[in-house]
Amino acid sequence: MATASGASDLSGSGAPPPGVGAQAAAAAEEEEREVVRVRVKKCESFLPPEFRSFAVDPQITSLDVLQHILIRAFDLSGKKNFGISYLGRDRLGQEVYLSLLSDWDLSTAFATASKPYLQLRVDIRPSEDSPLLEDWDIISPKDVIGSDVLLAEKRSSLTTAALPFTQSILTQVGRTLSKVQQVLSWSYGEDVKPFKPPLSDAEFHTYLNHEGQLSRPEELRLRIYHGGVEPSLRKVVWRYLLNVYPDGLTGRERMDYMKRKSREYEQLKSEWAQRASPEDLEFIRSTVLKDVLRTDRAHPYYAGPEDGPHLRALHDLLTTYAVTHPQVSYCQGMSDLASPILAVMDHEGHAFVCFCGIMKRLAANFHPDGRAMATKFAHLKLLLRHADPDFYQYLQEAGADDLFFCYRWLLLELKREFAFDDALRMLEVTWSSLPPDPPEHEVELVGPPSQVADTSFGGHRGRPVRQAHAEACQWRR
Amino acid sequence: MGNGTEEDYNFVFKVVLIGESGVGKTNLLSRFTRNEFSHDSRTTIGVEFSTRTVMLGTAAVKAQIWDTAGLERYRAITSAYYRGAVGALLVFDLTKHQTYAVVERWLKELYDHAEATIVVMLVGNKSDLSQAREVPTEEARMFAENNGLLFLETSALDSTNVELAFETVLKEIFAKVSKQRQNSIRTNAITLGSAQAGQEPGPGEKRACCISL
Repeated sequence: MATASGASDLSGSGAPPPGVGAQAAAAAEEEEREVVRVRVKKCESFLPPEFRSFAVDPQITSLDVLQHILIRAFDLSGKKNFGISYLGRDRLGQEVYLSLLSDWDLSTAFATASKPYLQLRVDIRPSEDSPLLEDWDIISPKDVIGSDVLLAEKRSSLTTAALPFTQSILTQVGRTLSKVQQVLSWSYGEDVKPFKPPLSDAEFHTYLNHEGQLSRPEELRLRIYHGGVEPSLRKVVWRYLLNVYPDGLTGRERMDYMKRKSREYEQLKSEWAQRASPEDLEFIRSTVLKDVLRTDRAHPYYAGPEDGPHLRALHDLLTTYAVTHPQVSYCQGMSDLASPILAVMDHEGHAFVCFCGIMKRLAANFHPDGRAMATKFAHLKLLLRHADPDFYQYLQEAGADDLFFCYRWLLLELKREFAFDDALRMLEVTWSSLPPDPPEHEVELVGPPSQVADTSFGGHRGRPVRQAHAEACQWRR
Repeated sequence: MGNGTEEDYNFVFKVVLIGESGVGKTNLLSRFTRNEFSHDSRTTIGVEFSTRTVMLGTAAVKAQIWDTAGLERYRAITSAYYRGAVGALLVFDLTKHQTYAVVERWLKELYDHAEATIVVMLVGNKSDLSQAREVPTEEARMFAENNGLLFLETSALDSTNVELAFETVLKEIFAKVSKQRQNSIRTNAITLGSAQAGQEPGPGEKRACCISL
């Protein structure tokens, strides 16, 4: 899995290790070792091999940092298509080149193969015509490891065997999706390439520069649009898609940012009683709970007893949002939007930050005046009339041209219309079709206070819109 | 009263389900239209629909039932939701007094948007949970009587009275419609030749126009 990378240059040192999962365990063993010497051999078709040597701090060198060191060391800019492998030992103790595809691989390499120095090999691959093959090159071990390695042969042949099957599924999904996109006009407007495999960790790092900053946000989105994201990478990539990060953060800054925002969330969560009256809070909590108990309960993440930790996290997240956004409060449908985010982040604070990111775009859909939804229906109507006039006429004759049967589709961005795990893929592809909209400074976790006067549309009796949840509460008193 | 085929009907009656979130509106609907009940049904978002065609005497009536989210936040569709509705089931959960306490508010919302002649039944759902009852039958019955509503207690879970509830509402509508159609024919006969005929029909005729095919 990808973690935010530490900033580094050839002589960089001193920062604490990024402590996440397996990497943390590997990194812990590395604590006393400050420098790893690296020797690299570059191989490119018929050219004679080239060699470079340098040293890195293993505690702050991530794969993407290493990649950029190599790009600079061998002047590879323009040749982004290369594979890295390191000389390690297989199970039989034989020396083999093992592929370096992730930060996890790199930690293993530092831990097991860096004495007296880490021996790397860079394979420059000729550029391919097919964009599809280009992507497979990046994740196929065959090109990274020499064809004389038996293990690698086996792995690559498995990949090859799986390819046609995967492709046929992707094509199938692609057809369905492109139809949906056609109707909802979610396309980029440029020619849509054939579908690709999900974005992998290694490939994701090619979108970051040597400081770990996302350098090509639009291209990253286009790439995700073509194939989604590998499930293990979602935790990282969704934060970009949900416009959580301001522009230009380095890996280290991203980690600090998320930590700080999480603390901010914990603080807000402790302020429920200050921010809402006891009656309002009680109303919000009971409404949220009623819905949380019937949101994605068939999925393992939310299955089990009603006081399970994930259900409580979802409840607390939504309650905090309602309390801190009095103009929006809680509305049915929000639990459906928050549920996949929490399941992917698996961290209440991070999920809240992401939820605020997505709600910046979607909050208007929940506004009591219904204006945003009315606009959506109007657009859908126009699109349908344009895309399928016969069907539109049929609906008109049946008196269904108000398209209200699409309400749930529009409000939840089709989330309910797919099985949970398929919905994750569908959502990330949908989100990636929107232009990046990073916050100027950072994601706001608190919405504007109530009491904003508003004149409603469509003869809605023109009364000012009060605090949404106050209004909802009043309805029940 | 039995099922007719989907396409073969003489009348379409639009019936709406209203009431607080979580009282079991969606399960009442699925029990009636598909004979299904789900313990972990999801929240209804916006509006959802289902139909079932039933025979009332010799007439096939297609009940087009609209189900909506109990949380009153979907204003964009409120008026469309009630428009043309000839029947309503106002549902509360008889194990949760709060859902009964707001029945009057729902009634007001209904009469604000629907026509005054709409047939309304007050439905106390979840009668299978009688040990947890918080709303006495007689109290609800009295309220219904005083407000001119039909009343039944149902259980979508064990099917008690679900058929009967929808059937009673549909029959009541049917009776009204039959009567109004006769009135309407008479009225039309009388006003024949008037240039203004039909422009501003009384409630009875308007109803008949909405329903008859």
